[in-house]
Amino acid sequence: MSERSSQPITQLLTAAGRGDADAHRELWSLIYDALHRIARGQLKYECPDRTLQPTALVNEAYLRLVGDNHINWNDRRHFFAVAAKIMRSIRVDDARRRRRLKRGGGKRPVSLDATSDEHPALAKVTGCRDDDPSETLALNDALSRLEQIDPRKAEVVMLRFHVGLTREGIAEMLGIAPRTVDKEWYFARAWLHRALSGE
Amino acid sequence: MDRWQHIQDIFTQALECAPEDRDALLNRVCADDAGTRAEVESLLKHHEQGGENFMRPPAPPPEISVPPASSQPGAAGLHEDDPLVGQEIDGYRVDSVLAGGGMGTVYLAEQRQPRRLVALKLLRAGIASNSALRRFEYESEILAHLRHPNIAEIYEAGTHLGLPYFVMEYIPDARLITEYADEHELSARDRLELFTQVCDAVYHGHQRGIIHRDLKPANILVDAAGRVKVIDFGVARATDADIALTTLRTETGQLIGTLQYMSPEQCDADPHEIDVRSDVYSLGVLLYELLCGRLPYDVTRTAIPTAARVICEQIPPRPSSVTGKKRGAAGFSPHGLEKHEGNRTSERIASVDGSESGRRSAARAKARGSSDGSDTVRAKVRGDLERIILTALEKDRTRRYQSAADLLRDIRHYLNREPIEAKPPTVWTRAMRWAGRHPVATTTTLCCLVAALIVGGTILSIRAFSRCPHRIEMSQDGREARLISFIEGVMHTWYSGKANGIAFTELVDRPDEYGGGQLALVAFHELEIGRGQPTLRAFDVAHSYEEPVWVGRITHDDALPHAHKRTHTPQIFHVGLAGVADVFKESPGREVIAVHTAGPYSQCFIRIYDLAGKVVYQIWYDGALSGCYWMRKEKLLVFCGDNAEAYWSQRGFTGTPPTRPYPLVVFAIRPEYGLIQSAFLKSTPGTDSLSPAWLKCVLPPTAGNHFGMALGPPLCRAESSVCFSLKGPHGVGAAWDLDPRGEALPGTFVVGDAYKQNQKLAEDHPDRLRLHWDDLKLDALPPIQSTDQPALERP
Repeated sequence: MSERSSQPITQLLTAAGRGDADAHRELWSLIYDALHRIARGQLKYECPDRTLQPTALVNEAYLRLVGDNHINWNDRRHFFAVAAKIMRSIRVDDARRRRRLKRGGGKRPVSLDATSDEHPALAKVTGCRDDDPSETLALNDALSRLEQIDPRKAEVVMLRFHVGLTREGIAEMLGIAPRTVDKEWYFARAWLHRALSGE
Repeated sequence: MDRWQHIQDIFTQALECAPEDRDALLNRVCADDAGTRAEVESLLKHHEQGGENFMRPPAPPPEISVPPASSQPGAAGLHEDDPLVGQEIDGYRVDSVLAGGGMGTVYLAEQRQPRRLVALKLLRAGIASNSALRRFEYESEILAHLRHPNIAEIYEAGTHLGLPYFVMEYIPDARLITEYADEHELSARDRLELFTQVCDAVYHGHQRGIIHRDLKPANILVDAAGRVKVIDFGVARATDADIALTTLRTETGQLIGTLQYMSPEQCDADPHEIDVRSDVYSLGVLLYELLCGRLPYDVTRTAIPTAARVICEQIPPRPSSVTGKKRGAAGFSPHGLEKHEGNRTSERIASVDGSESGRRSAARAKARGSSDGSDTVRAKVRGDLERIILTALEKDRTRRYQSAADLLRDIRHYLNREPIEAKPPTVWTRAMRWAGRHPVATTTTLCCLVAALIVGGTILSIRAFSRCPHRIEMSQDGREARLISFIEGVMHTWYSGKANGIAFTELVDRPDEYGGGQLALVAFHELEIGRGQPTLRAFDVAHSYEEPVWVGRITHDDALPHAHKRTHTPQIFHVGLAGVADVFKESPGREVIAVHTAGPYSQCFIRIYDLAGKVVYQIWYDGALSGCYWMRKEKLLVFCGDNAEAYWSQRGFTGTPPTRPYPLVVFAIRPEYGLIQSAFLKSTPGTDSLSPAWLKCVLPPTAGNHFGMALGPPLCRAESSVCFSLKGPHGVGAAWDLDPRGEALPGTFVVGDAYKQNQKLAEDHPDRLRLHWDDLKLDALPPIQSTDQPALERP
């Protein structure tokens, strides 16, 4: 049940993979919309929240947008990379919002990042609403730094932490051995932990 | 980057080897690179510190994480096998299982110091992260400070093998509030008193910033002394385990049990949106159940999403409508849920006090069987009490009681027979609520309504307009007069017997003095064969198209013998021409001016009728008239036609016998209201009522008999003037503008368009045309010179 024919998204993925900024933007909004719709749809009818896991959500979005068409691993990777970034940004926005609520109480100043309030449904499925928001934000900063140093590690972190893919899933996605995923993950995690500790 | 990769390689190798070998590895690899070694060691340290919990990926879907069956609540027998029984946890010896629930298992335990029996609740959900653990500690600290006679005290909280537990006050002989009320056959008043204790406890928690979040009978116990003990206050929150999450992992029946008491915002929205009013809602459900003997919604057999939707959208049946029903044999357990909760309690009791439980069960069965007391209870749930319940159960929390204290206050008001504060929802509120619940239906309904209004309005207005006459028109051949509606529909057609048989049609408003409505005036030269005398007929279009309300006709007695000794007396008069004008101030509305002409002969009546059909002016004229025009400002009625007093020959015309025997004249009269004369109008202008204001003769007789006459606009060029025109053969025409005195206005002689169009004809017959136009002029009527009958026969 793909909402669009796979052609446009495949093209978009390929173009985005080549570094086409417009394609990337469009892809972003396409995937964002899909995620958002799915999350909202599910949450509307499923009373206990958090039944929708990020993994399930992203997979559902993938199925809807790509369907069971075979696309090459590079495009697949791009799809999940974008989805992971979206989930990450949602989490960060949510943390910002909660931090702001904590500070501003009920009276909230007009905010520049108004978008953060747009996806409460999605925020629910990031699964970490009870985190300390400042922890989430610090982690996000650290992750950005890691991205600068070693993009693949950052990608592994995002796929694993924000989307919840398994090591095998990530390995397939990135075209590397599961063992390599482990290596990257452990190293990245230790690095991030240190970064968060401020050492 | 190479160094980065290098560090990672060493880090990975170090992880893969046993911890005790790490130093050796690092010594070997980083022998000459202290910086790299420090880096790797630092990362390794953080690897250990972070552990698996740091950045734990989102949990896989819940069904996978359901704990092993051994920790599930189930038959009592299973609890005996509970591995914790007989063990010691942080100074508590676990004696037995009291109850198993969605969130964990409650054990009866014995505290060493001080020595007492406690209830130990071990939660099933683990603490996910360090921050969560910190919060658990913080929240349990707050809970431990919650002191209220109606709240089961929390003595301590801690973790056992990573699972949080609470140590609580043990309440021996505890019953669920609903069971207690039934077993003791409490009256409505007693039930309300019991309920006030619950409100009190919940309010106390709220004052300290703690929301219960899971209020339901299973969490509201009553001890042997009849004192309410609310348990699990704030536990859901403190353990980072939202009800939804924990309950999902348990049996459906139990989940529904929790769901039944959940507020719409708990079902629908962000758990962070939950506030004290969510507890108020749950209290409302409890009160409903206590007083009505059933839950507001029956979602027992529905899927979870549907159940949630029901809670969010469905309006609970009014307590007054559900009361009076017997609970029947199933007693107080219409739902599987309650049976389940019952089991829980039975288990609880069985494990504490096995010998008593049989007696209790019997008592409960008795209570359930005898529904008399409950019926009395239910019979009272109406009016104020109903409003209290429904206010607590409002979907929109802003309409609910804003706190448990408000709810409590209203119940006290009720108990003291004072007016309550809750206001019944207005009709508007209810309508909007319905609309909110049914957006599709509402939109559809509104659209349909609008469409229906448009269509209906159109149809109605079409119908109205189709019944509303707009005008009357004559068919081109003059055979038919059609009454046309506003939507151009033909409402009625009057037929005449022959072409040009209809002389005049007009639709006029009839003044109220004459009955109001509209009159269709139709003047017939000739009626349909066999339909009587040609007449002027006025039909009231609202009543009948066939039966005129009045008929203007000349009766036999009206006819005058001919003044000029003509031998015949006309019998049949048709309406030669007619018009409608406001001639007389004396009568309301306009008048109908009709010229009744006698057949092919000369005599005619000039008559004016008011709209009631009464003749208000009448005078005879000798000649056939062919045009009539009312000069409104001058109050002159202008006619044109033949003057039949004498032939041309009698007026001294000696040329070629004219084809038209009588002179053509244009004249004006000044009608007087009420003047009804059986006498001919004189041809000499004068001041008496039988003399015209002026009378002009159109010369010469050679103009021929092809000339027609017309009067009035639109040809007139000047205001206060009348246009008189002649139309000759072959489209040749002429027109004069006359002033009120009948004088031709200078320069107004025109040749009509028809002449210009026939330029070729004019060129072909120059003599004839020149002759005619040069001879045309307005002048006084030549005097009669001879009264001799002309030789020629009348047509």
